[in-house]
Amino acid sequence: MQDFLTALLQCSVSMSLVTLVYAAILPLLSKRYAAKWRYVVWLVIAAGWIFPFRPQIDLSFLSAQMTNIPVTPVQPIINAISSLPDAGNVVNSPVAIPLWLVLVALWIVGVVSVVMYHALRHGRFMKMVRRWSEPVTDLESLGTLDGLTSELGIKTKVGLSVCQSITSPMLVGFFRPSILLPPIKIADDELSLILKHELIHFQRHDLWYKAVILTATALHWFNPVVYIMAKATAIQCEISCDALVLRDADFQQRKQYGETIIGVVRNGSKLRTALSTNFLGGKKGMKNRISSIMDTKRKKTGVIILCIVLACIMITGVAFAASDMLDIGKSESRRQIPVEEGKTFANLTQDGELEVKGKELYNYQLFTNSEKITVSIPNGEYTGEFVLYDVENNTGIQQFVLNGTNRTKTFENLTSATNYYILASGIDDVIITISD
Amino acid sequence: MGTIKKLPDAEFDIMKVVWANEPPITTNIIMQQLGNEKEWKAQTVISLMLRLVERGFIRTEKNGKERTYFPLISKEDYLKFETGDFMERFHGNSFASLVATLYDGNKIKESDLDQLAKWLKEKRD
Repeated sequence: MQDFLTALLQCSVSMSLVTLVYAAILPLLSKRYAAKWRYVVWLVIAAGWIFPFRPQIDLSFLSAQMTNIPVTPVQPIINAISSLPDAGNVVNSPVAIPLWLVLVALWIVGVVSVVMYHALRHGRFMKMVRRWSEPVTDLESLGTLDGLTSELGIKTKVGLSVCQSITSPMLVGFFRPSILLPPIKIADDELSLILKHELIHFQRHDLWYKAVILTATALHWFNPVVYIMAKATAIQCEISCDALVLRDADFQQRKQYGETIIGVVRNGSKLRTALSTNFLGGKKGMKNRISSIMDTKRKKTGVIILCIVLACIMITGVAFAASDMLDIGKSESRRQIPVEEGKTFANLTQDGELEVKGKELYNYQLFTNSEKITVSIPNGEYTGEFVLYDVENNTGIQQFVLNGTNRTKTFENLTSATNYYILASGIDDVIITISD
Repeated sequence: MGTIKKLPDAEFDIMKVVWANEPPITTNIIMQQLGNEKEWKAQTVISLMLRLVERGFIRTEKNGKERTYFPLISKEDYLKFETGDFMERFHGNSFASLVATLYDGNKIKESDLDQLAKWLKEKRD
């Protein structure tokens, strides 16, 4: 679970980077690359957000094995200590809930809340839509819909209704798709364009992609960048859908399409004013969209961009995994790392000394290939209880006490290449030296 | 009349018939246009109508033998009540809605739309 949390955070950070860079260069890209490809790249990025385990899954596996170990032996240590004759302060030390567990719990609560919120909202919306919809019976409109469905080669039956409570035409329904029209008068030629737009959404499975985006925002709810990604993807979804509607359209048809959309927004705004108060401020986005509609320049496919982004997603994953490996490598060369999860960290000095501060229970992991180690405490009035134990086979537990008269203890015949732990208690503000 | 409350489905269906017809409305009209289809008994329809009277959605008069009903709340008012705020919230954070709308941005000022339309109109190939 800890590894999952790490992977998730790494994914969040690296994908934030990819997302922000792509969002920043998107205006430049839109001059050269086709809208469809810009949208596909967004979807790939969304997938990158959802799957935290990219190539690093193999690499992190190695490090996971090493960091995982301290979690399990906690129980035996406590037992060992409590069986020590004079270990009162140790037994009484409270068992702190590890920070990562709190974080995981918080994350789960967040994910569940986001999913619940959207599920309820969508459910409520669909219920209202159903309440206020009447199927279109006008034969001419239905004929237009039929014509377009067969033109686009869509086999599924797509419903058509007028809904009193919406202000823009829309496609709803994952399994039984239906196009809903707002209660405004729409001319026949305009209706054809509107229906085509919504049918292309259906054909491209855009509703499912929206669900994918929602999944990404639910998993990374704590990261503001994911919302930027979601918003930008939604915008690109519309623009690329417009581009498909107008695939072979000439200048006049594009103009008419632009006018249709402005008309829909105009009537929609009136309805929205009638229904409720409202924010203003969609002008810039609208202008961008109309510009894209009128843009007849031939554009390149974005395979290159797609490959670059894919590479970036992979590389950031690998880079993170590699830095993990580096950390592990370092500590291995030092042979000792402080463990005690989320609680205390003892500093390891260059000479393999452990600085112990405050009265805490310390648990040190020793990565040793040597068969012999020496534990020593400095001169002075110190008394500490130690337990040396072998993680792999709990059998090798050895207890010893170090004090003013008995300052060092050497262990020989250790199984090499095994993870040993040293548990120290009753020692404070001293440097313990552990050497081969 | 107190504050409007959201109607349950059955009562909403009745109101749809009430709104669709010229008042006065009779239970007969409701039965013909809705009750038969839903296989409701006349008594069911009458009790639903009475509940709507209690809610202040319709009022009732007795003309001799026949009881007639008149709407008190218009379809538009109820629509506004039921959809208004919700639609606003729905459009407000549209980053992840599960429907595909033709336009789902913020509302645009009429004058800005005029400007956009003019700009589009003047565009030359």
